[in-house]
Amino acid sequence: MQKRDPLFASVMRVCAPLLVWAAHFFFCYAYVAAGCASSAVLGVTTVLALSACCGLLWLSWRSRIGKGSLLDLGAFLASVLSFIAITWSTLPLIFMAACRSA
Amino acid sequence: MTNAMKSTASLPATPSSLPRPPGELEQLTRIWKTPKGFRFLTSVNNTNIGLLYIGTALLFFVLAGVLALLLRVQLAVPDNTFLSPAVYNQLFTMHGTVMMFLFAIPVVEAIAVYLLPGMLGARDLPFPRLSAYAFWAYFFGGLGFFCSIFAGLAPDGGWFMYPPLTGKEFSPGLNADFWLLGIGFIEISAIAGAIELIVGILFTRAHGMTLGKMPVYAWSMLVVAVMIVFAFPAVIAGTTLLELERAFDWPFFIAARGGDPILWQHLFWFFGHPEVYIIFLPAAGMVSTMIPSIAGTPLVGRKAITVALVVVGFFSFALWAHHMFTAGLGPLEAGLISAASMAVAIPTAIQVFGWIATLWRGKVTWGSPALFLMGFMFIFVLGGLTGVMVAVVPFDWQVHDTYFIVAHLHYVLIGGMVFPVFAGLYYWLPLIKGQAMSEAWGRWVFGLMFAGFNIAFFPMHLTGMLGMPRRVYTYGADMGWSGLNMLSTIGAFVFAAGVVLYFIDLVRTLRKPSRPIGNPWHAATMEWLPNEDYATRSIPQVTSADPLWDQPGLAEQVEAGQHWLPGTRTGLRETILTTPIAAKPMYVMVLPGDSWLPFIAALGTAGFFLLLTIQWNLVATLCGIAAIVSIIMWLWESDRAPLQTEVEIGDGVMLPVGMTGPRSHSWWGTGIMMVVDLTIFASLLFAFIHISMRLNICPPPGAHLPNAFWQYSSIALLLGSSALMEFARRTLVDQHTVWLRCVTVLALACIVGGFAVVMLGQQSAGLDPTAHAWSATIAAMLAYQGFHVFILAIIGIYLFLRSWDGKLRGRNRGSFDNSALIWHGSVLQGVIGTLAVSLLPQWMGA
Repeated sequence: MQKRDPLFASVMRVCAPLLVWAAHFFFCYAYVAAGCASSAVLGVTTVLALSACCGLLWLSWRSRIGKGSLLDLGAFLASVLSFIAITWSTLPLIFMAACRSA
Repeated sequence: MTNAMKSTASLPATPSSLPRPPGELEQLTRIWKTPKGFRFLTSVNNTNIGLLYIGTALLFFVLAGVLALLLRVQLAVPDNTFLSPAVYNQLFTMHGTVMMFLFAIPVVEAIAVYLLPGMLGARDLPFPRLSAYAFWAYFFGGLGFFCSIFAGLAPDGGWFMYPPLTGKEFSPGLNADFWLLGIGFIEISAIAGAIELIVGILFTRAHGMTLGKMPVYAWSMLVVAVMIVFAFPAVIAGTTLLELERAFDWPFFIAARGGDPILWQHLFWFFGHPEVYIIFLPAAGMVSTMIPSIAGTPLVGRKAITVALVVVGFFSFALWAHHMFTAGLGPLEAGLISAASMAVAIPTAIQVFGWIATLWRGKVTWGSPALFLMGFMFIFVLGGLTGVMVAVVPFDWQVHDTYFIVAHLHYVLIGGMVFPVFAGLYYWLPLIKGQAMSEAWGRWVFGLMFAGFNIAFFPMHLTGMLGMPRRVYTYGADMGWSGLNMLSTIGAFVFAAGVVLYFIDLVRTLRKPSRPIGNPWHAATMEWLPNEDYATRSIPQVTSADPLWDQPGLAEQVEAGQHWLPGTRTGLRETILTTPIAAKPMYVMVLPGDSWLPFIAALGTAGFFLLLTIQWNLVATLCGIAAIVSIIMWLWESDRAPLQTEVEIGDGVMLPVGMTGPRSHSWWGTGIMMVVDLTIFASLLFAFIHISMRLNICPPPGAHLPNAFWQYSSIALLLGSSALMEFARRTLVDQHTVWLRCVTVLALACIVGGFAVVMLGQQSAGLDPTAHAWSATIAAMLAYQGFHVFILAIIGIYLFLRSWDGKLRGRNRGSFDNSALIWHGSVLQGVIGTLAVSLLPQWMGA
């Protein structure tokens, strides 16, 4: 069954970009809530998360050509939406001071 | 199995040939027959349980609606004395609680339990007795909880029960305890339903119904069930902590002793916000199923809509703190949550545009379901837009806790869930007796509900903007809110008139005689195939996402028995389990039959929790024992291997009967339960970390860390216990039964020893849970570990007895595999908890 029906791998294809979004979001939230956050750390995390999304987007775009199964579209659309959501969460990080005492 | 897979690869036009042998249908009918009279209570067939479940949920909808009308009467005029402030508090708390916990979540699970077997082409979902247990627990628990209102004991702290108001100091009565114990345990019933749905949707789909061809409704329920698994544990942990605080004075939420009321808000809303989507996504799934039927055209952007469901499921977990913008979060935290709250609008909009495009492309049949769907779109979109407004932090600060929020949440919940559910009730009602509800009445019902809703709730946006706060029992005539409030009250009664009319028509329709069901909406989904107690005569072979449109003659073939498993092969209830992605047959699962055990277990569980609240401890204990004994008897019966090892499911196609290990449904059910369990533990761990982070010095003054020797000895014993179980599972189960029993007892001794050692360590360090919230969070984790040791002791004895009875080998080894999974999960949290208690203070001190 594992070879014929790779549930975990298929689920991960669609969920990987969403997990990147989740990791970025919860890391930023916890890091900011825990104390005086450094803008550099938040910046590097965001660049890493966006790069990962771009990578996954590129992979899904490449495998999507000529196909159109639900999982292919899922991997593609999830990457796009995660990219938008991460960019969106980055806006407050850019425009608001990470550390109020700074 | 390999042979079976090969032979199913080249499919004939229909898998089973005619004529069918004589007596096949009669045997199938006899085995699945629903018991009559009072023995109906023993029925576990999901179709029957689903109907009872929907009926009970609608009962709670009406009861909570009556409470709302009483509230509206009180608010109709200024300075009204119709209700006293204390009664008003109980009524609005019960209205919110009953609507959310006893109507909204149960009704969406209930509809799924009823519809999914048909839609997926299964004879039944894989754990029918679990569904029956979940339903009866909800039924008894819910009614018992509701009755607290007649004794003046109903909770009165608001549906989200914020401490310190709900702590012992400000709520000394039993009212809050009813909420915490009653609701805490009804959540367990929701989780049981979620496990059933996940395993059912992944493994019981008809042959050929790949994930891509699965109905969007099933997708929505899959996403929702996974969300329940991760969201509900947070509130279970929260309610447990608050009840521990009230019962034993462990000060988790008492700021003066190091606790933090905000901790409750985090735990509650980490459940509470996904909860909104847990209610909305099933409705969205129903909408995606009904719209193609009433528009007569396939769903536009079906795949994109499916992906959007998954994405909404993810994003909804990042929105919890938008209920806490005024609780003193930092501006950056609030900014992050605000951004996520707006981001979730994108995947939601994908669905809305898909629905509009489908209606645009097709030719709409303007029946009652279509009217309710239009009402849903109008109201829900408005609710969504005010949602984006309150996601803007400064705006939220202005309208927080005002009637603007009351308007917003009712637009989202009534628009996003009640209207689609009513559309669904009209749409699917013919499945029961073939009788549709009256169209003429339907227009009146819709008109009254739609107009009443908007007259009641639209003015609340304005009363909110004018500053009227939520949860006040009255207001002065000089405030300028009188006219708007009167309008809202009139609207509420108009809405209620629509609901009354609906129920009159429902009763009228259900009293009519049965007639052939057919496919009245020309729907594409398989719940409209000819259906009896045994579901469809044969399990269809699916080749399309819209099987009833693209596979002509399917209904006739299925009814004639030309598809898979056209009878029963083992002489018992059975269904085919398929692979989760490609839906290829894996094995035939024997389903349990009707039984009193789930009913008794549920009655015992409800009795235990409710009677514990009013401190009838002896009777409560007896109820608890009755529940445990009946659950053990039920488990004992469940793991039985039928005589056959392989059966024929179609012409010459053989499948194994039953399965053990990671391919089996029971292994998955246990695994999901362990994910829930670990998430509850993670919530307790979060409480510990949250409280620790608020300290200046960790451990706080007066508290001490135990000696590392105790901690690491305990970890070693726990890991040893897990290793013994794994060794037994891999090498001893099938052959060396005497050794198996010895090793199981040894493993149990190790885990009990590990727990005893960690407790001794804490005792020597002088752990006092009442002294400080930090100590209380450690004690909570220890208590949770102790609860697991208690469960493992029962499991250990159970395994010992089963092995003694020769029922733990070969095809019966499932009990041992699943127990090992529970064992490892319990050890994992013991180890993480002990490490966290040792390492976090060191890390914070560094």
